[in-house]
Amino acid sequence: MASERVRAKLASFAPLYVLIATWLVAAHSTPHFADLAWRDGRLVGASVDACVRAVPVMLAALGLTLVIAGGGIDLSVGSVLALAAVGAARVSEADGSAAAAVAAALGLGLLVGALNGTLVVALGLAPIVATLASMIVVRGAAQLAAGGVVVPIDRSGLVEILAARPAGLPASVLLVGLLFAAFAVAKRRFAFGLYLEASGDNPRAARLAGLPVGAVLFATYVLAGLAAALAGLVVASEIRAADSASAGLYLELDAILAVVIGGTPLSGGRARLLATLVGALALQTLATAMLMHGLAPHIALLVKGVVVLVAAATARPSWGRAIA
Amino acid sequence: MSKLRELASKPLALSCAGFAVLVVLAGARYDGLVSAGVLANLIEDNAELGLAALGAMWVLVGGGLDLSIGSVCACAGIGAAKLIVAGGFDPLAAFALVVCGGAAFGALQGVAIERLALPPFLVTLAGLFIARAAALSIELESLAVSHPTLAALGDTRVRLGEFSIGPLGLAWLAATLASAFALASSRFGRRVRAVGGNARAALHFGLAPARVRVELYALSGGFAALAGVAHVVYGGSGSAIAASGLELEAIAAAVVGGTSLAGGLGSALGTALGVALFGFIQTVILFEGTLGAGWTRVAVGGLFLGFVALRAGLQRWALRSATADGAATVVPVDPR
Repeated sequence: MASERVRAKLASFAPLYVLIATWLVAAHSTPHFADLAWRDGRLVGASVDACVRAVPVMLAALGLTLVIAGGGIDLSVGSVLALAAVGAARVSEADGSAAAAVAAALGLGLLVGALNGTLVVALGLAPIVATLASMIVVRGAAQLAAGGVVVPIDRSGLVEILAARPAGLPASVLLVGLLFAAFAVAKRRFAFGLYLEASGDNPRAARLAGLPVGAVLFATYVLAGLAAALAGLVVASEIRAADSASAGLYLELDAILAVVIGGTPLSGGRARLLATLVGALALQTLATAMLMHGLAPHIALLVKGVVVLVAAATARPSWGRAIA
Repeated sequence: MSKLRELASKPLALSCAGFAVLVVLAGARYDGLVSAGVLANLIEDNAELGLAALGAMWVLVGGGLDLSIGSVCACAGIGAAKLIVAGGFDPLAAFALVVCGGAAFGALQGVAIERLALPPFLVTLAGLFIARAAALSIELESLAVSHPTLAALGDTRVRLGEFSIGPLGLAWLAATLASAFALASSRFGRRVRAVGGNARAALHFGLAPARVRVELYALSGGFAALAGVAHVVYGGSGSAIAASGLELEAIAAAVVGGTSLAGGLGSALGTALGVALFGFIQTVILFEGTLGAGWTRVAVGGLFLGFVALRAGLQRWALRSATADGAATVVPVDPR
């Protein structure tokens, strides 16, 4: 009995093992990968770099974890990232203040999230259809808002805020920490977490038990929209511009991948937020190591494909049937 | 009332009505939009998506999902180009080879889904990455193909008065008609609908759902590769970065054409109509003169969204009013 429980506990740390193994292999095979240094009051090194690069996927994947835990899926996060980035850039172009840019991005994320939630909850559309449609529309809206050009964002103070290094750590990484803390508190300290996992596990039973299933699922889409908008702010401030055509392309697939590696079942019913972050980090560690090795980008694609299959096959027994 | 209810239960009728309204409105606005020449171009330009969408439709009817279509299409296109340019293959032989390759890749995905009992979403997502990586490792740059056979193929037109149709349009038309016939009245089509409608019931009837699904993924891979071939014939070149996101367009077209994501329901003619609808919107935007990826996306996505939302709303209303009247009309509702 006890040994079984220990085994289950150990198995639940699987994403962490993947991260550690990836890191060890990378550190062993790549010169200077494991180096960490304190320079000019900031922590630098390949591992920190991997963390920073993983930020957009981590942010989007945190929101997606909630949606998937509720038994849904959100394919529109990449497009929301692009729309939020363009919105922030446009507003900062006109207004110049960082606060207005942030408000614009979050407002747009909220709007698309509410649209997705309405389509799924009120109209009863299959989440994959509804968010596929909004993915296409929102990407188009981002392109229209950008007017066919890459919009610069360097005039607002946003770039400086996100480039700051409080306590030597990148601000964007701290942002991930904040969002994680907020979601984790919502999940563990409030009824939201219980309602969410109950709704994802068995929506019918949850409804019969009197839980506000519709409101909970609606909230997950709104939160996913907000998280993707935050990712848009980070991406825009990192490259000091918003590119409506290429920003966040395939982000939804990477984010879903991070959630899956983290062991959140696609059939819903469980939200593993920390494991999602670990999964995103493992993916980015792999990518950074391959980049430092000078491997062609398409080899990274191949490895990613194999990782999906291996992660899915090892996590299999706890899974229900497909979401499709 | 009951007529309306019947219409609501037929998604395909809804698509037809929507298309007709669009054609009349757009035709009144632009001279020469509704003409034989535009129609011929519409068919020829959208054959690639049309072929891919047929594959997506088959898999959806069988209760599955294939996200690897775009990558397989690109891989087949660049593979065929490479075989012709570097391997000295005859184009037709190269095309046959890559279509077989696409079908084999699809079958492999199907086997992984069935043997490992994994969600199709994940396996075909892995397939998306792997096929794209394979395409890029064949050739990073786009590869132009010039071959007498290909040139002759490009010049072939079948004329019917003012209307003329090329080899791609003919292939799409033939594939659509064959799929429609197979889905409606062949043994394979009945098996697919049974398995997609209720896999457990199909199993108890003595069908082999796993085998049917593997066949379906092979079919989808074959159609995706055929779309890649269409890309090469249409553009005269293969490219490893082509057709990204084609799978989503294909699924959207199939859904607009009345295919249910829950499985068991679908229509090849409807899928072709969905593709034509998307193509027609692009033509209208072209006539409007505001050529841009943004407008196309908003129009296509908005139409898709409006359509599925309208259909869901109508079905709910029909179900409610049917139960209220105590009418015997059977209204199929997509179970989520």
